[in-house]
Amino acid sequence: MAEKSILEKLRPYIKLHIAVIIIIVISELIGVLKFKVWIAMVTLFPMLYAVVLGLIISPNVLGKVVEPLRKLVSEEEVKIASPFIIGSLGPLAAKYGVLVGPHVPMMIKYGVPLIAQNFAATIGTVLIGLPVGLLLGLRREAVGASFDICREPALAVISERYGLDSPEGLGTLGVYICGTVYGTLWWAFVGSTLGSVLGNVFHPLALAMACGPGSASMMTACSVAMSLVFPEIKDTILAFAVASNLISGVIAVYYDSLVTLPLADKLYHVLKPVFVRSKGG
Amino acid sequence: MGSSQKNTYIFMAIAALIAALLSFIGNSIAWHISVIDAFPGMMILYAICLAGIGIKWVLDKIGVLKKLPTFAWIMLVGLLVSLPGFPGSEIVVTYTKKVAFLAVCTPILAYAGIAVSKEIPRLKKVGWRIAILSLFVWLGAFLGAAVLAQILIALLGL
Repeated sequence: MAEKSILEKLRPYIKLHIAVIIIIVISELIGVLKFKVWIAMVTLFPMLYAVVLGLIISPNVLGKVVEPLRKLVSEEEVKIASPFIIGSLGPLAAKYGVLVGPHVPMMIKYGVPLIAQNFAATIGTVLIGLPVGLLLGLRREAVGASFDICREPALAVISERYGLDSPEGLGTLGVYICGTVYGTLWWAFVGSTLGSVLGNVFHPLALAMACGPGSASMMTACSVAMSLVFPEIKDTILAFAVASNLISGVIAVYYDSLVTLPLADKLYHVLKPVFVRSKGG
Repeated sequence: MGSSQKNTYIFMAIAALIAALLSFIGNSIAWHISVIDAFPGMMILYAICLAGIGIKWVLDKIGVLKKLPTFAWIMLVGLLVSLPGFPGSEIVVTYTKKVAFLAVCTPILAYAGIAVSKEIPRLKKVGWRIAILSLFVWLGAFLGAAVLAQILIALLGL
């Protein structure tokens, strides 16, 4: 009797892992794909197929129409998947650690650019994101969307300053949700294309560090894609991206609230008349 | 309260073990590294995980540095034991190299894809403007960081 109830309890966990194993096997069988688009190299690799396959088989997408799929992955399996993300980050954290360790002496040498570039990342988001947001017809939402790459620290800062239900908060939350769903894919694209296009002009480590400002999975996607562009120094690329990601995590809250959010706000007041007039409004 | 708290650490340890085993699949399929070759490295990585979870457990208990996530402690342990000069660091580095970085990532993203699917209805509400803008925001972060890093590397003659 008791045994059956345990089995009953374990059932969604077993179903989830059947789905996960199928996803992993398919993804790894496809393997790394590289193809050239004009002057850029686009690289695809198993973790990207895994996230797409996971999304596709969900009850919100293909499960909606395919009955057997919904039987395997229902709302219940979707719900219990989240805690496993945190657990499965364990081996990755360990792997990060042993990648960074041997590079510590080299990182001290590159310490100044490694730390400083993190401060430039969110200046970049404002300088590029704000004008594009205004061009797209957004207003205060553009301030919230562009003062940071919009991960957890940004949510904290914006909700304290404006509230998450303000236009600014909606901008931040919007980019945050987009990042959760397709951030990995975009950063992989950026890592491989810009890695291959800028690789001749930029120092490979400058590009590796630039993979750092996003979430752990964005950074991973970007640096993995880039490490496939520079295979001979792949461990160094990964190690520098990891270190940069760590540093950006430490500075984010302070820097965002003291510098980039006020900057985005100021720039908004400068740019708004320009964009509104050019639209004839 | 206390026991549910304790269960979180045990869950972490079990989930990390499952993820380590799942990584084996990818490691042998895509990277053609035999399970036997990769086994010591994976066990070392898992031992590092357990050490990190243990540190977090103890620190939570005595109430120190509670804000740092388990992830940070695992990474710190990994960094320390692979630091040049740390006793046995060469062994750690040699064996863990047999575990492909990419193979460790795939299970996480498989879970993430499934879990994130519940955000799709919210994504539909975000609107196409912010969906497009997000791409430029991230691009801006990359370019801003890369440009300054490049300037500094050139200036410092590194």
